[in-house]
Amino acid sequence: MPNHLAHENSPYLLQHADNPVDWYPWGEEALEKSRREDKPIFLSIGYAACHWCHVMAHESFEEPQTAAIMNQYFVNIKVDREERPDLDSIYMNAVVAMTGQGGWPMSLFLTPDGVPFFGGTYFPPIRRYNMPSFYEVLLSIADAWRKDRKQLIETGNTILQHIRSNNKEAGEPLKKELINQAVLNLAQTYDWKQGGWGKAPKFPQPMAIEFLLRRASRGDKLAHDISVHVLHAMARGGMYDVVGGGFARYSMIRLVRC
Amino acid sequence: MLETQQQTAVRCPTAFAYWLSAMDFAIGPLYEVAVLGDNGDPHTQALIETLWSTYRPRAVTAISSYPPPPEVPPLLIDRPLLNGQPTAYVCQNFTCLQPVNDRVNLRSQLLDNL
Repeated sequence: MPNHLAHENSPYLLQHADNPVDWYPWGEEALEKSRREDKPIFLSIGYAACHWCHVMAHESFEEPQTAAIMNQYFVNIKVDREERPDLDSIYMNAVVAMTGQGGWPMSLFLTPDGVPFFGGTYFPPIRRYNMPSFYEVLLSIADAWRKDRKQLIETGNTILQHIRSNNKEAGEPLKKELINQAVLNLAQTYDWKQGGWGKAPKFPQPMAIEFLLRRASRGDKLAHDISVHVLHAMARGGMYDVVGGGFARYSMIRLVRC
Repeated sequence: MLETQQQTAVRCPTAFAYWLSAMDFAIGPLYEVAVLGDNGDPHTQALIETLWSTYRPRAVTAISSYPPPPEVPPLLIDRPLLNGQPTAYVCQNFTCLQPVNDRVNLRSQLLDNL
């Protein structure tokens, strides 16, 4: 029976929908369950193209005995870092603060308030590479949560303070001048001769064009000129299918316009 | 989320272009346009065509027959028809201009505000 990831949009989360682990997506439902059942959260952050994320999934998250321990003692949350880079950034700071290094899969243990108190990256199913097994980690944390919770929460608060002092970008309001800078950055790499960005193979950049059109609608002439130029280049060039309509996925040569 | 990612998005604009669009949208100002009237009524169509005649990336629009069904967005709630005819409301921060029935007045409000 699928877990709570079954209705997610992320392909990475859907890959874990049939795990025996009762995964939840990040959200109030999982946090509320953690508070209600007085269980710590196990948070696993990864992404679809991450090799060791899949290794840990096969070794531990698909393993019924490990999953049973996870379900008994923790509320388990899976996050796709490509969907939630904000969460990834915050909790990566926590893992780096705790262990001096970071990476994916990211494995964290949190209080029901989301405060991290222990973390790491990949854990093997049995002790190796000088690392404890994931199974041992689960049991140790579950034990400490019962017997030494005060210490865990204190550790979490120290980490939280560290993250807050380091995370200067968080909380800064959006800056209009930064968005102007983004247009300039797009202009710097724009190919005014052939249209488009980068070298061959050259991919259409519909989202960049949409952003430029948005800026153009505010009167940004540079954004207007680039978006009109690239759209003309695509429409006149070989990547436009004059018979069936539509555009090719990419151009093998540098020319958007052939 | 946007605040934490803005520096990265600006540094790598082709990789974060949709984030940049979201940042541009978040900065606003945003406008709301509600159109109420039967879909088959040419006056409703005239209002919709006026609204969509140009690119308005900061306009949030909602269109419904009248009376709107219960599950419609709040933008369409409590918007009576003016003169019993298809009606458009141009609003900002939940404050609306005078409702209009025709494309000339709607275009004028949109030009002044969008």
